[in-house]
Amino acid sequence: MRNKRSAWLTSLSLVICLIHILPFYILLTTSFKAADDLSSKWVMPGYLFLDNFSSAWREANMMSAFRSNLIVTAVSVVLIIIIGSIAAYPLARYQTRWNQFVYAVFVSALIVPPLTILVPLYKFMVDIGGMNQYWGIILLFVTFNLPMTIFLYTGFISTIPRELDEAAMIDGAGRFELFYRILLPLLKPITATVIILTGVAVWNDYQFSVFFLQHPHTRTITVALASFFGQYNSNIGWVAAGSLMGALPMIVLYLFLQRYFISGLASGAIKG
Amino acid sequence: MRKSWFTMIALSLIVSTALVGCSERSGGSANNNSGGNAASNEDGSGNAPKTDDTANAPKPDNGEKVRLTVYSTIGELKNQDMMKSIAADFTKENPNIQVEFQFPGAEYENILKVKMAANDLPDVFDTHGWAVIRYDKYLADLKDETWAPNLTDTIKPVVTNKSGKVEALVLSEAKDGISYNAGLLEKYGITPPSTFAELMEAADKLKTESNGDVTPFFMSGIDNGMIGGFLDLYATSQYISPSANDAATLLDGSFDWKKWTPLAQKLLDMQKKGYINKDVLTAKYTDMPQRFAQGKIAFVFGAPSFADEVYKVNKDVKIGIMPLTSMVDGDSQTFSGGERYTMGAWKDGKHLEESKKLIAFFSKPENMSKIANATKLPPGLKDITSEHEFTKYYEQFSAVRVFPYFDRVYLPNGMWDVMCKTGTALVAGDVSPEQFSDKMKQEYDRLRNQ
Repeated sequence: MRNKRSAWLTSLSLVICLIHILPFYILLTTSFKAADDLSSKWVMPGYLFLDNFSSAWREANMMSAFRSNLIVTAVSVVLIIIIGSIAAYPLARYQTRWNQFVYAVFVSALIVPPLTILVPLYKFMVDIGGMNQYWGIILLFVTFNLPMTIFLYTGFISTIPRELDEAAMIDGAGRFELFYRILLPLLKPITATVIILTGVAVWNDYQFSVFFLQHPHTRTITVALASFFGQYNSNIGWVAAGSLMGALPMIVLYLFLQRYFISGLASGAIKG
Repeated sequence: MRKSWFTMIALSLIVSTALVGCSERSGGSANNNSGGNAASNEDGSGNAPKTDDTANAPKPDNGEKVRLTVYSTIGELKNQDMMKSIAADFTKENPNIQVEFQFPGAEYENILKVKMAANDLPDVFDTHGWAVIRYDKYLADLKDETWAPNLTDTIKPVVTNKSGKVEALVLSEAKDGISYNAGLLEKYGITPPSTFAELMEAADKLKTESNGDVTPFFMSGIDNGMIGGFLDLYATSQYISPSANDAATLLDGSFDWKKWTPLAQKLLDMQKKGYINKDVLTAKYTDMPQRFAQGKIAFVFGAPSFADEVYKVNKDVKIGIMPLTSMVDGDSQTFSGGERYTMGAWKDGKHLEESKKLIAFFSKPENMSKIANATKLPPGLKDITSEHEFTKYYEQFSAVRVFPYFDRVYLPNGMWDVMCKTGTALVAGDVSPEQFSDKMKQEYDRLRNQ
C-alpha cells in the first residue's frame, strides 16, 4: 500500500518536473537551430549551430544589456535588503498601534498593480529626470519590492526570541549594534529568500524596463531581446539564444542560495 | 564579526553609490536624447558606449551639438541599418546634429501611448497609420516643407488634416491587396483572380488538387489583426468602392448593420470549407512566413511585408501581389492604403528645426529610392524610382483605385478591436454572423456617441 502510494507520488512529481522542464527543452532546441531548419521544435538539431548566440549577442548589444542588468539588479537588491530589514525590525519588535498601521500600509501596497499607475509614474519620472537612467529604474524597483521584503522580514524577525535582544542589551549593545551583530546573521535565510525573489524579479523585469529604459545604452536584456519581435518578423532563434544567456546568471544564483531560500520562505510564511 | 558586518554594509553602500553615480553619467545623456531636450551633449560623447543605433558625428568642436531621437516601427534589421546609414549621411552634412534611432519593435504603440500621455515624445517618430487621428495634436505642421507638394495623390489626403496641416513625410505607402505564392498558383494553373467568387474557386481548386497540403488562406486568432484586416479590406469592396455604396450612411451613423451579415458569413464559409488554416485560433502571424516558404499557404490578405522572412527559409519562393478582388458585380478591384513608414516631428520638441531638416534630408529622391528598395513598398512621394521584385506589380496596378483603410474613415475609434475580436469569435464558432452584425451595431452606436 505504502509502496503503491510512493510510486504514485513519484510519478506525479516526475510529471510536474516534466511540465517545468519542457519549456527549457524547447528553448534549447530553438536556440540551437538555424532559421531555415524546418524540423519540429521537439527535435534537437543534429548539428552544432551557434550563430543564434553570436547574432543575438551582437544585434541586441548584449554586453551593454548585461551590464545594465547587473547594475540595476545589484544596486536594487542591496538597497531593498538594507532598507527593508531596517524598516522591518521596529515593526516586528514594537507592535504599537501606530506601527501596526504602518505595517498595514506597507502590506496593502502589495495589492496595487504597478501597471495601473504607469502613466502618472511615467510623468513623474520625466519630471524628476529619471528617464533612461539607472537610478530612475532602481528607484522604481526598490519602491515596488519593498512591501514584500518588509512583509517577509517582519514575519521572520518575529520568530526570533525577544530575549536575545534583551540579553544583548544587558551586555551593553546599542540598537544598531544589536541589529547588525545579533539579528542580521540570524536573518540569513530570509535575506537569501529576498535576494532570490527580488533579484529574479528585477533581473527579468520587462514591464517597467520597456518604458523606462528604452535607450540602447541603458536597456536591459529583456528589452533588448524584445526588439527582435516586430509586427511582421520575429527572430525566434535569436530571442531563444539571448534568453538562455540572460537566464544563466539567475540560475547560478539560485543554485547557490537555494538551501536558504526554502527555509527562509517557509519560516517567513508561517509566522507572518 | 561586528566589524565584518559593518564593513560589508559600508562597502555595499559605497559600491551602490558609485554605481548609481556611474549610471547617472552615461544615462544623463541618454535621458536628454530620449526626451529630446538635449541642449548640449558635453558628457555623452565621451562616456557613453557607442552602439550601432547611433549615427555618430565626426566630433566637431564648434557650435551647439544636438541629438535627435527618432522612433521607427521598422522591424527588419537590414532596413534598420539602411535608415541608420541615411542618418549617418545626414550627420556628415550636419556634423552638429546626431541622430539616434530607436526601434522598439512590437511595443512601439504602447510606448508611444505612454509618451503621449506624459507629453514626452521623440523628436521624430513614425505615425504608423495614425498621423491625423491619433497624433495630430502632437505633430508639427510640415506643409511648408519643400517636399510637401510632392506627396502622392493617394497619400496626401491621408496625412493632411481638415485644416490643411501636413502631418508627416510618408516614406512608404501601404497598398494592401492580396499577396500570393506565385509559384504555387502557377503549379495549379490558377491565374490571379479578380472577383471574390473566382478567389473562392481558386481556393477550392488548391485545396482539393493538393489533397489538403495547401491551405489557401492563412489567418491568426492571436494576432487577430489578420482577421480584422480581412474584414477591413473587404468592407471597402462591399460597402465603399461600388458605385451604389454605403459611404454616406456609414458616415452619418444611419448604416443598416444587417448588411454586415453577408460579409461575416463569407468569412465563416471560408473557415467551414477548410480554406483557412485549421489552427487559426492558435497560430501567430510569425508562423506564416515559414509555411508560405514551404508552399503550404497560397494567399495572405495584406501587403507582402513578410517577404524577407520567407526568403530566409527559402530564397526561391516567388511572391506576387494583386489588388483585392471585387465583391460586388460590376465593381472593379481595389487596394486599401495609407501610411506605412512615416516621419513626423514632435511640435513641442526642443529641436524642431533640426527635426524638420532631418525629415527633409530623408525626402531627397536618392534616399526615398533607397527606402523604397529596402522596404519594397511604394514611396509616398512622386517621381521616385525604385527597383525591387514588387516594382513591376506596383506599376502594373498603378491605375487601380486606392481607398483609405475602412475603419479609419468609417468606424469610430475603438471599433477596430471590436471587429478583430468578434471576427475571431466568429471563426471560433462562438458567435453567428447575425450576432456579429448586432455586436457591430451596438458598439458602433456606443462609440460614436462617446
